[in-house]
Amino acid sequence: MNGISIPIPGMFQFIFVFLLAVFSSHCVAASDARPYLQDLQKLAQANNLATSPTWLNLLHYKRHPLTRKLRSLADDKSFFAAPDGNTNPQSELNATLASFFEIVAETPTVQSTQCRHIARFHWLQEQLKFDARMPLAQCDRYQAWRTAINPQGLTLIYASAYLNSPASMYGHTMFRVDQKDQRPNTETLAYTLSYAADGDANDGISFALKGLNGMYPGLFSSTPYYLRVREYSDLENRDIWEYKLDLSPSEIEMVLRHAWELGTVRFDYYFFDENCSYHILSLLDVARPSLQLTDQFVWHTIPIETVKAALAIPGLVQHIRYRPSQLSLLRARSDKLSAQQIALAKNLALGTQPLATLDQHTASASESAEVMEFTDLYLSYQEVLGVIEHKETEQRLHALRLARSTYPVIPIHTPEMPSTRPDQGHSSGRLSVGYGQQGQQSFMEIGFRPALHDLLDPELGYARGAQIEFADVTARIVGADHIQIERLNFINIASLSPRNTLYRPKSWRARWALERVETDVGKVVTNSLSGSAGMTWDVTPQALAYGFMDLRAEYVPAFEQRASLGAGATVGALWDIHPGWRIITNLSVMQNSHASIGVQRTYSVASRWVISPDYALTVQADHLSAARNTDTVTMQVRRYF
Amino acid sequence: MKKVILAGSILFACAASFAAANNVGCGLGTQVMSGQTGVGPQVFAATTNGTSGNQTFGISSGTLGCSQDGAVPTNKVAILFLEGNQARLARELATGQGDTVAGLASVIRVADADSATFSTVMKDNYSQIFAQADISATDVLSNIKHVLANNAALKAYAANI
Repeated sequence: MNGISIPIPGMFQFIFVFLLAVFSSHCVAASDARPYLQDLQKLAQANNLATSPTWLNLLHYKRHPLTRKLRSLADDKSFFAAPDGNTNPQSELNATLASFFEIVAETPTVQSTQCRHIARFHWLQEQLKFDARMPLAQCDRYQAWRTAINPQGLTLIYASAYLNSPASMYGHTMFRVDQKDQRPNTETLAYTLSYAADGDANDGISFALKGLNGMYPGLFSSTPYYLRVREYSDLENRDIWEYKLDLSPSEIEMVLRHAWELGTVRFDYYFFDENCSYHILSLLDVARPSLQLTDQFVWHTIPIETVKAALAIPGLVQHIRYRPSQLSLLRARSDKLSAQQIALAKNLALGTQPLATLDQHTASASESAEVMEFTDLYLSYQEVLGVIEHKETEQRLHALRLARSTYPVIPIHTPEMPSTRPDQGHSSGRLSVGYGQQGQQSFMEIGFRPALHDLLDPELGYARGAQIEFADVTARIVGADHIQIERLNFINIASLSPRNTLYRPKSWRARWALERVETDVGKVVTNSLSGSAGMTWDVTPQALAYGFMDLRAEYVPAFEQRASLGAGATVGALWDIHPGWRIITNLSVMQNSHASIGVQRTYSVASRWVISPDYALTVQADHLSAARNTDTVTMQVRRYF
Repeated sequence: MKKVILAGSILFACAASFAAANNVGCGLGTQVMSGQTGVGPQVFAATTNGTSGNQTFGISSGTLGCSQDGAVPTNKVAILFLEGNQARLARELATGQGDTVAGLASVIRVADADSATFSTVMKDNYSQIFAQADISATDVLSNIKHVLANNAALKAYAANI
């Protein structure tokens, strides 16, 4: 009993303190808070905080590219304190200050505004120097997250293209938050900050269409880097480029705070503009408003362009590191092996050579270890490609690794950093001007292509043999006053992946285009869809040769029989005579179901010279046989921007 | 047609998410390590990037699997690392070197002075650690703990698992 008895005066004191504690937040809000809030709001207005770049960045206000109206890109009411917060920075700032006086108990789903909008709170605290009249919330959840992240630096991560997938040239960007006690070999333990659409990609076409229309919300996540590396490097065989950024500790804190407040906020995910790269850049803008990186991207953001934007800021990128994919590691290892050793490894991988007999074919234990390690990488790669069944691979890898662990440790050859990087490639936009002759008629051509790369564009920084073009439009001026759209490639993809002793990829092409063609009834517009499957070989290090089986569906509104199907074949070669000088030739023949076309032969030869990183010159000659009998020669200057 | 439209649409996409199953450890171990075959899935996968359950690590989004507001709780750091790196770890422990071995040593807080011993002991006891071909990450971790506990130089680290 004695233990809990409290003297009477002490009891009063206790009750007083208790009541004060219970009502304090309400008291502050009711009496002290209102005049102080008004002081803060006046001070903020006097200092024009609502129009400062930091405030505009924190709330993601941007002018609409067409209406020029200011609006926030966030599509989530909970992101704003004011009802009109998404269009009115001043009213949002006033309401935000008011919301800071409301302190609530933190739960896994609820936070005080000071914590939920922790970057805003921190910045306003710095600007307005809050005094003791501002109640302070304990942001335990944020602090726990920040402690786990343990930040010291920030690295921009770029996952580059992967073999046989031209679309991957678009790449992907995210941040890695480097940890305080991190060493080069423990970098994968760091967390990443990345933005992703919260949709199910298994939905296929509806995923794509919903994404285009902004129907998927995007969310920020902080996945450990090793899971990203596994995904990119091991499963997709993409090389990763790491750009270490020179940011101050306070700038890095701002990135973390802002990532926290964006965590659950819904941004409608537009593939065209508000994609992952755009939001990654917006974090940098918040950290250092003078960078103004997102202002450079109004219509679309291609991930590699965001890397280039960061590199263009003097001193922002401290150094660049290359993290080779499993495939690059495999290649580097195969370069050090003889043909006989590679054959041995393949036999071990296929199970045609018993592991127990390995030592009979090698000169030393370390040579056996070398062959086994290569077999391991090769087998894992085959599994990822789906060439070998999972269960079977699992057993073979297990036996292989058990054996490997009984041999000595050997030095490993890691691949060197490639001499060119994806960020050194030509810009993704292209403008072209051409002069040509078709039959007896000469013409001028103007072309515009927003993205990204074709086989005649300068290859530096791009994946060899890979092409992806989107919305490539060409207009032709014939005579003095006649201009018309000549060609529109909605999409034009090619993947020429050479086959060799280790990898046997298929090559393929796909194209959807509107174009004008010459027919026996004059020029008509055709809408065509074509796809090809084939093979490519390295003839020399400078030349590729390929063969395709082609299918084509064509729709011609001007014809009585509007649809036509075609099947045929193409052979061709790509030859780099000199690093900047390339020649491509194609011969193809196609049987068409439309009687007026019949058998169509096409011959073409094209040559390209790289003039400077931003300019290239091409000359192309095409011959079309039969009903579409035309000969065209075009000379073109291409400018990349 | 579908592929072409799809390819066109994904040009500007970066990522999508797949929900990760959550029945063993952190759930990552149940995902089969395999890539995409065929042209369509490859083009598509190029820009979707979502095989690790991104939203499992949603920032400030509460507790989901092995994520609290996007961070891994201390008691799950080792098992998640195992699940996320099992294939690499099996390869590297057998060869006796690599970043994943260093990562494992860091996760179980092995001092720099002991890291060489750690790699050697892991390699020498490989057959005990990866006792069968289809072993689970949880079993690998408990085998590592067992190997450490039975090693005079490293037994103190067994408590860190």
